[in-house]
Amino acid sequence: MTDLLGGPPLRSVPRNAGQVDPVTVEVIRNAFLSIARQMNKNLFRSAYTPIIYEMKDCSVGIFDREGRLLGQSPGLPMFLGNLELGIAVTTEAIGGPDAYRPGDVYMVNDPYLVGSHTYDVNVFSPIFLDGRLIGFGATKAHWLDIGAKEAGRPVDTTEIYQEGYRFGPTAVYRAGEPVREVIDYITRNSRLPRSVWGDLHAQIAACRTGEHQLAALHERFGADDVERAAEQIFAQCEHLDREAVRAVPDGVYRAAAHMDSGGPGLPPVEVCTAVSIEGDRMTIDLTGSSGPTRGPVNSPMPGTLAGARLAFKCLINPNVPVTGGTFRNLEVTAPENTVFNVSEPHGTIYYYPPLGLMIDLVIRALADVLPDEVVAGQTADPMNVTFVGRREDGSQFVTADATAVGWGASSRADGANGMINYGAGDLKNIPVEVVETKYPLMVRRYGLREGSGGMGKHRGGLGIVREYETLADGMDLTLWLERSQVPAWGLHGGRPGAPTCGALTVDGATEAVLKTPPRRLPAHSVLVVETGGGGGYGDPRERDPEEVADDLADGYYTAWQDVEQ
Amino acid sequence: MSRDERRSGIRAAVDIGGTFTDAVAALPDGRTVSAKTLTIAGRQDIGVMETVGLMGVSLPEVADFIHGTTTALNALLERSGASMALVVTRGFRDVYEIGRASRPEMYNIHYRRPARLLRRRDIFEVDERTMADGTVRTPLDAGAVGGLAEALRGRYDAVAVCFLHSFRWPGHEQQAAEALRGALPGVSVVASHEVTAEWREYERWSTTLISAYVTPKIENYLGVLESRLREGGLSSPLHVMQSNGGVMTAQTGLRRAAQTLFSGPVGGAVACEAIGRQIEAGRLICIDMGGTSFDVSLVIDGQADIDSEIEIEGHPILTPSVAIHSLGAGGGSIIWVEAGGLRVGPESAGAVPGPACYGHGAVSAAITDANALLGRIPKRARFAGALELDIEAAEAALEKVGADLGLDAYTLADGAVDVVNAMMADGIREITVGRGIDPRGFDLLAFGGAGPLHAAALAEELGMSRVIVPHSPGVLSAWGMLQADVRHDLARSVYGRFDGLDRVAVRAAFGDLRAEGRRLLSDDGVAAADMEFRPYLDLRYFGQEYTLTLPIDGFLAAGEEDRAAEAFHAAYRTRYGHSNPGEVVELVSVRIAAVGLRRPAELPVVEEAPAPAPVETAPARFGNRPVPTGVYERGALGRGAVLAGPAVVLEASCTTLIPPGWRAEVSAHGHLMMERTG
Repeated sequence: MTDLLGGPPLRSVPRNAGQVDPVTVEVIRNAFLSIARQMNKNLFRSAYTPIIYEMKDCSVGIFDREGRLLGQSPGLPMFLGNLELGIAVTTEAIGGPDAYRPGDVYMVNDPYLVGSHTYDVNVFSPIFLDGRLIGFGATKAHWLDIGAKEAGRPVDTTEIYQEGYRFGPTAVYRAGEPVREVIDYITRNSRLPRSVWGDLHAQIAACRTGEHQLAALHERFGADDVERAAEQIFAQCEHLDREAVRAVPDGVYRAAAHMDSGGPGLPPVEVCTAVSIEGDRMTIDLTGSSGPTRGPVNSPMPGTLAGARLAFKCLINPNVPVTGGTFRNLEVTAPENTVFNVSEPHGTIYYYPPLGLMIDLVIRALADVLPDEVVAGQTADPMNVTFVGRREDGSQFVTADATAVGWGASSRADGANGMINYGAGDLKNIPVEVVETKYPLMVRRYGLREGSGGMGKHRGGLGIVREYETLADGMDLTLWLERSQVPAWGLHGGRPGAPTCGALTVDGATEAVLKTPPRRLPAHSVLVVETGGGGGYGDPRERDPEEVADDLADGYYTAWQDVEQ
Repeated sequence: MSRDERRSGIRAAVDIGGTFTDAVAALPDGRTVSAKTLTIAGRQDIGVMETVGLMGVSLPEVADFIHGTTTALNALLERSGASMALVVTRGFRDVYEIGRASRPEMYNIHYRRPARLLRRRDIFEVDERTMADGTVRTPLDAGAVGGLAEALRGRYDAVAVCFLHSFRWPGHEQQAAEALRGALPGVSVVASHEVTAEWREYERWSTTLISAYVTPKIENYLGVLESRLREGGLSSPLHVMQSNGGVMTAQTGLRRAAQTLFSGPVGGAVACEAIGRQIEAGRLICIDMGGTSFDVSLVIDGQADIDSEIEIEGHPILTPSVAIHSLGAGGGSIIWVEAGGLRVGPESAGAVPGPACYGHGAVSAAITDANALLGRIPKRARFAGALELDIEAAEAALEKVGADLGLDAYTLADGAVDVVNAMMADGIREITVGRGIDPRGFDLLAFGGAGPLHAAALAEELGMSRVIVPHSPGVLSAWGMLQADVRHDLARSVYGRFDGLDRVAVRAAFGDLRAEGRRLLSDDGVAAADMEFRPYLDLRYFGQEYTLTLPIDGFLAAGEEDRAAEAFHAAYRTRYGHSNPGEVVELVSVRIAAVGLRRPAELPVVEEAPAPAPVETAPARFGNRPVPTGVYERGALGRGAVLAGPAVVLEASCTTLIPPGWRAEVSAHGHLMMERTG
């Protein structure tokens, strides 16, 4: 890989004392973003795991020497803020930044340190120029198997020790040399060693791309100007965020709801949000939410912080790139021993669903004061369907499919039909032809769930129906479906969307099913997944009659009942 | 007709652009003539006939006529294509609407996907099901297809038939399409396997629908144009430019309409390939910078870089196309301030009101204003019908923005140009360095209205030392079309690990593709001696998704897997910086480029002329200091003429800037070859 940020230094432009001129700042700002995009491209084009390459379940950023974000490529939104934590905890663990050496690569995946779950592995490398630490290239990506108690993603763990290997700050490369024992350990303890090895190296390659490019940028402009330009870039972001929050009327805004359950057979999980606006600051307080679950539905504080940041970003300057200056006016509070601030040994594999509901609730809490920025409810949940089985040659496979949902309507428009929930960003579904070619599965139906969007002046988006048939004996199904009890709510007179439901037919007998630990299925078992529709916005009687007629003609609805009521 | 027989007549190419229709003809005596006229929306044929007239070309003497048209692209962008029905496998009515269920805007909770080309009411399910291995689970309900035909009668211009796994076994699609064709005369019926034999249902169906959508427009347009050309006496075949950089006959074009989507823009890329051959530079970064966009394409080892899949406004299209990467940066990019920080673009001033210096009353400052104020575009340059550039308006607009940053108009102008140059350099890095290509080993070829103005600065940013501004950049695309071979890219998904490859299946696939290619080429009138078949494999490591397309020597005869695998490991390392030689390599698709070789048009040698004299010398600013700068007319520069920077070269379609520290020499064929001296 070559470093090519060469070129001449820019001409000097008058500047205020201590400030880098605005031209240089803007050139550097664009370069930071460009470096992150290059790293990301490198990562997802060379990764092994479909969840990274196809679903972009990853995040990539370039950081300064203090571990502050310079540029991030849009990856999984739910990872906002998790990358810098990996750097921070490692720096502390190894005794400060002076302990880094050129060619080092570190990994961390302990959810109690860096958020999300053990499957999401932070890999980063320090960047040096002329022997001086100038920054970090960092990535986080979902690995397919890290030796948890079962293949796939178990929904019934009770302790984090069942959730696979867990690394605190750990060197994978030291001064350019691989630490063979560590790499041996992570491959030896995975059911999919090739995939884990490949993803690790794809992440390292992405970090290396960042190293070369940041070093070249420093060579060109000088460390001093790059670092001071970064401060100015942070200040710009902070200013924009503060102005946007200042425009929201002061007050405390609340919304609460519950998840179906914290796992198979477990009670519901209450999520309470209170959003306070005070001048140019926002506080998201999760006090009142349920305690930790006995299952894997728990988020340690670092993950909660990321989720709250995403809620903030959805409403405040969604188009402005995130940097170390973003979120400076956001505070997040979650009392200890709630589902949002758990401690060891609680499991965290399903850290995501309470965060999804929390984001949805923060948006709802602000519905009256930001009526044009908010959207009605969506079932912000990944809706995972996982099959584990063996191919004819004996090798094991794991499928992992997130299912799209209906999006909430807004004052501007109807909600989108069948799209991956907003925490998951550019995650893509897996084509039916790919699923059926690679695995002994048949997808019998894949379409929109008619009538599932909440009615309103603008209607909610339709959820999805996806129907699977197993074609071989002995495949294990792990299922995670949510929001069967609290469907996506409407706003300002709009009606709620349809709740999620699932049905499993085994040997001719059909039962309702939402969450299940690995369940061995005979061939020709049929699973029907129906995800929730989005909430409507505004009174359904105000809907343009032409739009109603169009919806009927297109079969999105068979009747528009609410208009008559 | 073989290559030699064609040597005698006139070869003419006409390229339709958004604003202008350009034409170039190569005459038997070695001269080249060109012409330019305004494009008339909806009647592109008028511009074609006009330019032919302006060039003084007699149609009966034309041995070869090549045409680049934006008809298909416009139909898609303006949503003016066919009214369509889509017939799909039962259970999959919404595959086309759902797409991949993803969204590119991460934090936008209001995201709406781009509008689809048809509504849900126009999508019909029939009972049939083919499985992944090509076997039938549910037979096609022929009676239902017959009933459907009745329901569709009189309601649609086109019908697309899209079934699951038809890339593997097309039987049901063939039967349904045949039945519908029989029952619905006059309706264009397209089956997905006829358009592309690649897997991934949404992408294949989207490609099929786009093809069906633009076909009637292309059919109608080419019909009108061909009859006008025939009336004018044209007796040789009419060729159409394709997205893949090759040409095909208009007749073939009717069957492969989706291949004409980039018919216009690729001419430039093909021209770059040809110029590279002429000046013996096999590695080129080609930039086309206009008012609103900055397009980059690459020539690598003498070949234009081709992508097997493109996306237009969110619609995936599985047709190989010259890879053109667009960036929202151009002369019209607006200079503005956000939170005390300078920003350039992505909003553009557009053509109306345009930059402030056009004098149409715009108050926003754009990059063109900055260049005008700095004297890098001389006042005498003519834009968009403006009489003379309004430098005062440019200065006032820049002053206003600069006030918020504490910068005077000149400093801001200088800085904004630096910012846009750096952004374009970043864009080029992302498509080169990101795949293991070092731009320092490339030459920069610049065209478009503003490309040659920014080229030297961009080259400096990227550490490149040579810039080429081609002869007559205003009609470059049309000239490029004269250089193109006949080309058909064909692909088939064949999935398998290298360690247990079904060689019979691979060879059969190659055999089918070759036969299909031979048929298409001979339909295009290519003699067998001029046919060339270039095989490629789409490979990846087992378990990966993205593939690398690798040219191979043979058609994967026995024992050649090892060589192909080795080549793959090496290519992978170049592209990503690491490889995994112990890993199993997996085949995803086989491809063939079926090429009909044609004679490229030679460029005439430019005459020598007296030593160049500037038409004026005016101050231009470099490093924010005014420097006397000579302004030259391109037309007056003869072979071997040398200009030392700073200098500006003016011609009708663009402005070339030779900054201090650069010199330019006119090559034998009229290209401006710029090199760094400082």
